[in-house]
Amino acid sequence: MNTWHVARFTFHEMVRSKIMWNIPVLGAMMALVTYVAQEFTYGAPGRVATDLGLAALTLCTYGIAFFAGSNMIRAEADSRTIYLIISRPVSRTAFLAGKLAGVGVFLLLNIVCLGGIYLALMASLGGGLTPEVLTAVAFLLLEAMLLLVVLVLISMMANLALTLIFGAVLLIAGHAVAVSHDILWLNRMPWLKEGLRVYDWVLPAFHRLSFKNYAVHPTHFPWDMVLPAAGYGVLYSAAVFGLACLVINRKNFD
Amino acid sequence: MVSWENVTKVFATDLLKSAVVALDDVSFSLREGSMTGYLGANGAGKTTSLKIALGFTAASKGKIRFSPVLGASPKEALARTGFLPERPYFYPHLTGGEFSDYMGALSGVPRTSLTKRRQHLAERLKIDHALNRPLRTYSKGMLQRMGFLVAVQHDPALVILDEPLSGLDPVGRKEFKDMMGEINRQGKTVFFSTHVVSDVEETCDEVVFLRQGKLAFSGGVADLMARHASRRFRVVLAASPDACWDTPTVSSLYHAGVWTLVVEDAYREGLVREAVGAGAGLLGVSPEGASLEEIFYGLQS
Repeated sequence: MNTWHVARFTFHEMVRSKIMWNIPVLGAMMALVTYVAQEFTYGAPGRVATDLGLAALTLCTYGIAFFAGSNMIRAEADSRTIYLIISRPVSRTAFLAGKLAGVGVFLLLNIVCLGGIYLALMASLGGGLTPEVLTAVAFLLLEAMLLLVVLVLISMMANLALTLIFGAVLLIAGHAVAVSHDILWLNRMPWLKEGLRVYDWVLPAFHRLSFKNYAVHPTHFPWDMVLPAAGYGVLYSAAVFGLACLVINRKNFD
Repeated sequence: MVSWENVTKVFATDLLKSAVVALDDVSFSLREGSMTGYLGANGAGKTTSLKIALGFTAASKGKIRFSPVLGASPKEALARTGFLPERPYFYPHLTGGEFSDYMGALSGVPRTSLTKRRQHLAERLKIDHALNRPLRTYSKGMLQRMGFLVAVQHDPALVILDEPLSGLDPVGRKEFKDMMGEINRQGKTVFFSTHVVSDVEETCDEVVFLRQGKLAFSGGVADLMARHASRRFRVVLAASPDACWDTPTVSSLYHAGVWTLVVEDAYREGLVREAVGAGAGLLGVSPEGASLEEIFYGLQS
C-alpha cells in the first residue's frame, strides 16, 4: 500500500513539473522534421516518419530516464524529504519501488502522448499503427525502465556526474556490443570477443530490447525474439532492482 | 521513551585523512511525557544522533532502544513518532493539502480523521489559507509550519524536531513554542534541538547538552540550574537612597526607592535583620542563580 502512495504522489509531482513541456516541444519538432524530411523522400514518407518518430520518442524517453534516474534518490536526500518518508513506517524497499513505479507510469504517459502525436503524423502521411511499431514502442518503455533502474543503482553509489557518465557508457556499450561481431579486428582477437560475449550476458544488453530498426523495416521483424527479449528485460530489471534494494537498505543517509 | 545507549558514530572522510568522530559514547534517554531541549554548538552531533535514532544512518557502536509504549517493533515505534528535519524543502509541485495527504497515508491515518486534524492544525499554525497552494509558493516560515503540521498530524506519542525554530520570526517562534507546549501538555514527548538556550529555559523541563560529540549533561533543567546555582542571594529592600548597610554585600544597586543587594549566603540573615531593624521594607529574598545560557557557555568552555 505504501508503494502505491509513493508512486501516486511521485507521479503527481512529475506531471506538474516542467518535464511535461517536452511533449508539446518534441511533438512540434517531430511534426516539423517529419514534414520537411518527407518532402525530400521519394516514395517512402511513412518510413521516414516512423524512423523520425521513433528516434524522437527514444531520445525523449532516454532523457527522462536519465533525469529521473540520476536524481530520484539524490533529490530526496538533498531536500531532506526522504527523512520525512523513511521516518514513517515505510520500508526503504517500498519507497524505492514506489518511486520507480511513479516514474515508470510517467514514462508511459510520455510515450503515449508522444506516440499519439506520432500516430497523427503517420495518419496524415497515409500510414497507420502497425504491430511492429507498437512492439518497438512497448520495448522502448521496457528499455527505459531498465535504464532507469540501472541509473538509480549507480546514483546511490556515485555522484551525479559519474552517474550520468556511467549511465551513458552502459547505454552506448549495451547497444554497441550487438554490432561488435561486425568489426573485423575484433574477430582477430578471440579473447576480446569472448570478453564482449561475457559483457553481453553480465551487463545490461540494451540492444536486446531495441526493435526500432525492425519497425522501420517490418518485413524482417524477428517475432521469435520478442518473448525472450521481454523475459530478459523484465528479469534483468528485477535483478538490478533487487541490487538497488540491497544498496538502499544498507545506505546511510547522513 | 527512547534511549541512546553508548552511541558512537565515526565518519570516514577520505582514504588519507583520519576518521571524524561525530558522536563519542553518548548515552541518554527521553522521559515519557517530557519536553526536552537538545543543545549543542554546530557540529556537536545533535542531528547525527537524531538520524541514528530514526534509522537514517547506522551507529558505528551502541544502540537505540525504544520504549514498549511506542510499539513492539521499530516499525510500530516509527508509526507513533513524528519528525521534522532541519531546513526541509518539500515537493514543490504538490499543494500543502496533497503533501499532508501523502504523509498521512504513509503514516496509515484514515483520510477522514486526517482531514479533520489537518484543518485544526493548519488553523492553529495559520496556514489553512494556503493548503490548496503548491508548496513552491510557500515562504520559509510557512514551509516550517507545514513540516510541523505533517510531523504531528498523525497524533504521534513522540515528536522529534530538528531545529524547529530556525528561520522563524519572533511571532512565529512564540507560536511554535506555544504549539510544542500544547502538544506536550497533551501527554506527548517532545524532543527538539536548538542553538537558542533561552528557548530551552523557557519551554523545557529536561535538557541534553552535547559538546563536541560527547554528552556534557542530561537531566532536568531545574537540576542543572540548582547544580550551578551560586551560594549568593538577592535581597530586595524598600529604603531611602542614602541608606547604608554594615553587612558586607557583593553588589548593591538603588533604583526608584528600591535597593537590590547581592550577599553571600552567610550574610543573608544578618542583612535582613539589619535592614528590618533600620526600618527598611523587605520586598524579597531569592537565590542568585546563573541563567541556563551562562551554564551552557560554561559547559561549552
